[in-house]
Amino acid sequence: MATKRRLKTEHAQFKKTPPEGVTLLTDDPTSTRWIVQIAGAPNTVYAGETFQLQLSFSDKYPFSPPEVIFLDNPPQHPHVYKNGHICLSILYQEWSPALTASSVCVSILSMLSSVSKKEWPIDNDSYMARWRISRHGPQKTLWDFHDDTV
Amino acid sequence: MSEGKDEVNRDQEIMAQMDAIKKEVAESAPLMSDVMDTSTLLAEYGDPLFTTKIKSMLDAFPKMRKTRGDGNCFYRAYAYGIAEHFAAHKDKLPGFLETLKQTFDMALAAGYPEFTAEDFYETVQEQFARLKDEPMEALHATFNDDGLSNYIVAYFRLVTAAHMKTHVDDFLPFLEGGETVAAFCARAVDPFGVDCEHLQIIALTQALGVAVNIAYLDRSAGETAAQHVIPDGQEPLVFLLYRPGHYDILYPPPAVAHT
Repeated sequence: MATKRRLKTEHAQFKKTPPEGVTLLTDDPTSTRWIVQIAGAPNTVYAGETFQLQLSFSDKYPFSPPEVIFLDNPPQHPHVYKNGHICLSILYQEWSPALTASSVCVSILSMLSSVSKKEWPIDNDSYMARWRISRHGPQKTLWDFHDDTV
Repeated sequence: MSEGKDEVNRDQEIMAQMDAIKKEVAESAPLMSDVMDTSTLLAEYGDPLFTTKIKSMLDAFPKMRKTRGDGNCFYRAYAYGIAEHFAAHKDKLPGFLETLKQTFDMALAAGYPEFTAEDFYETVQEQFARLKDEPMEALHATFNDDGLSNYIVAYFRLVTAAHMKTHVDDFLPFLEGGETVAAFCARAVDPFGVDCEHLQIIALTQALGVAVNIAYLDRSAGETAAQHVIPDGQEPLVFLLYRPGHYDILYPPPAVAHT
């Protein structure tokens, strides 16, 4: 009940006042799987490009984080794997119920804006090899957040 | 390839194990138990260091109430203790509700998004306000309702972090390794299920103006459980028992607890 009420409020708020460069494409306020489009910020290496995020909410939301992945062609970024998984602490250990879907998207956009060149994560190949076997979701990875600067 | 597979298996095994532990804890204990004799703790310990300390506090705290060990126990136990106090002192409840309102303003000043903070605040305000004309039993049900109980925990965490962020100078000197208050809150206050330590307790008790007495049942030397009041020098309204990694509620005689 708490999950549904919260999502409905967030959906309305997100539609009404979307953060700059972030658009909620899902119209159904009762959906538990949202598609969000984010636009690379001007004067960054992703300027002019758009990406799609999928946010999936469990019935434990907001006490558990939404599962967030990039769809299709994820941005080439040191914290984004080729399968769309994102290594960002607030999506896992540092999630807080005071955060929102909208604030998560803003954090991801700011993560993109903070790099000066496009690179895949250094362990992309081994991560992808493991993922091809397991097909695990990103929340089933024990992430190691070693780099706070990017 | 085989190495990758092992690593996947190891990650998933660890995650499955953590899930299993959480589930076991959830199924074995209510969020807040009924009142019980503090002496029942004796059966949990064989070590004389602990049994001696437990016996030493039975006169001061003959009764206790257990909290589920889910990493939120301090916040939940403290909130429960506050509710019990104002259920027994209804004349002081309006003052506390006013303090709660101020903490909401503080949360906004600290930069928390208004509508999530408001969602938690309104739930807490609404539940505590019920004590005006309802007994503690009503709130006991609230504290054992996953959704409502977790909203209260979430709000108390938010107040803790907001107080630290709006009183940076008071807390920064205690952080280690050059960590900022914002980073500390993101790591050790905001996330649901992360244990509460001394700094968080200072922040939360200061923000709510309700002092807590903590009896420490740990391996430290001595035949009695050490006790500390936080914030120092104030009259405690809530009494808690600390065992490494966990908090429960204690009751001095005569028990103010309902059963």
